[in-house]
Amino acid sequence: MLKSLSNYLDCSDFSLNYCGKHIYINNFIDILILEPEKIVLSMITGKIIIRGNNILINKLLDKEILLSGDFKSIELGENNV
Amino acid sequence: MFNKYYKIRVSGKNLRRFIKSLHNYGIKLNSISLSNSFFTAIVDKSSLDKLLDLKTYYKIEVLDGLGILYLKKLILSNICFIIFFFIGILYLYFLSNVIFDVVIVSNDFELNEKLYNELDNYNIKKYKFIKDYDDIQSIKKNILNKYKNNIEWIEIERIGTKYYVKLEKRVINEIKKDLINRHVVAKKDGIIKKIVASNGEVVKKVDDYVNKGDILISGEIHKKDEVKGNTAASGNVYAEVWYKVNVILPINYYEKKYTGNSKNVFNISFLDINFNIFDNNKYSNKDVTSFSIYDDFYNMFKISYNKEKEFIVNEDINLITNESIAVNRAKEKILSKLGKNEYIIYQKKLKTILNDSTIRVEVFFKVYEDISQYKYYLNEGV
Repeated sequence: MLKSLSNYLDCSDFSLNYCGKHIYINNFIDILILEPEKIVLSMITGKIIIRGNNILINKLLDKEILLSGDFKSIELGENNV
Repeated sequence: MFNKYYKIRVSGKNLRRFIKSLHNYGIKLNSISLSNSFFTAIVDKSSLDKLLDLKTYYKIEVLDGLGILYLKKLILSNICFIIFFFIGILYLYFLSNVIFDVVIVSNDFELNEKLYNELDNYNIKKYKFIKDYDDIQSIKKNILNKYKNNIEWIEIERIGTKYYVKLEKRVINEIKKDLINRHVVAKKDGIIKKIVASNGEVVKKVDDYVNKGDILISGEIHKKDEVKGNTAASGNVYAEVWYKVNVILPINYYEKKYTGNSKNVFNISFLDINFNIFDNNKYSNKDVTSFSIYDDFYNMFKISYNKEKEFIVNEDINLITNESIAVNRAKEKILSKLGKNEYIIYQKKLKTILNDSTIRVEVFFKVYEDISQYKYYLNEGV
């Protein structure tokens, strides 16, 4: 229980929440590509590729990012791809 | 708690690459709004410092402070309004906490005066601060204690800036004598005609002759010649009582008879001279009611406004008339002493004695009259 409580308070796992025109990503490492049609973020286990139109960053913190736009696809890939 | 936030505007080319690089420098951006040539974002103080330290060709402008900075700026720009607003609030609070009037709702002016003085002692008076609930309760209690013989209940109510003091006067009833043991006794001699007893033991009967002081209704309750208890006897005993009334009248008795004529005149008197102004029809016999308008210190000169009522004197009164007048006088004398339910049963002129200058008429009366009165006594055990 303590472990789950600690994980809840100080979560270090990668998470992605998609809701309509927003995507909220937690615990990413770096922004690899930032374009209006494509954003690539690196994470511990690989990378994530988000495609769409007019993709904008609403919020950019150390490990959090909030994106908005018309999203078309979300892909997971390995670091060397 | 009060972090300082700034709204910035960054302009230049390829802003997405710049945003990407800002992340690498650990600069946190909030509420990013991106357009073609610039973007705006909200950054905290540490991020702004890092941003300004960067050597870059992007143009970075700080547009506005947010959070505590914004609050500070807002306060400073509206400082006059804020100061007067608080002064207004304080003034309103001050005015609404000052007593502007104290009203005592009572008709007893003497008691009102005492209460005003008493309230003054507790600082409940004009232009003093109002009291809180506990103080009012304590003041009420103290006043009630001090005027426990005068005030039954008191309420000090605040309506706006006025204090209304409502009170109920204490009415102390005299000790009910009904609770004391007593007899009903005869206050004069007579023959009992009616007994109305509401409490006690009736010891006389109708048509019994009683002397003054005889017990009519006893407060002692007997059972087989033994006193079993005492009570406050009450009731009315009506009896036939007798009176002899003597009326003496002078033989040259005259009678005033008002004609019904009256007038108002102005009268001037100087020493012994006395005359009415514009009075052509003088009354030979008159009753005068005088209202002084002017008189000097020694009463030598006086002007007055008189009301005169004319009467004639009927001196043609013979012996028979004199007697009947005397009898009527005697009857009036008796009737004046009688109360409710009491009346004259019988009357008779006994004798008429004629002297040189007076006539004396003796009249006998039989009267139906309440002869009861209370006589209080103590128990043997007391």
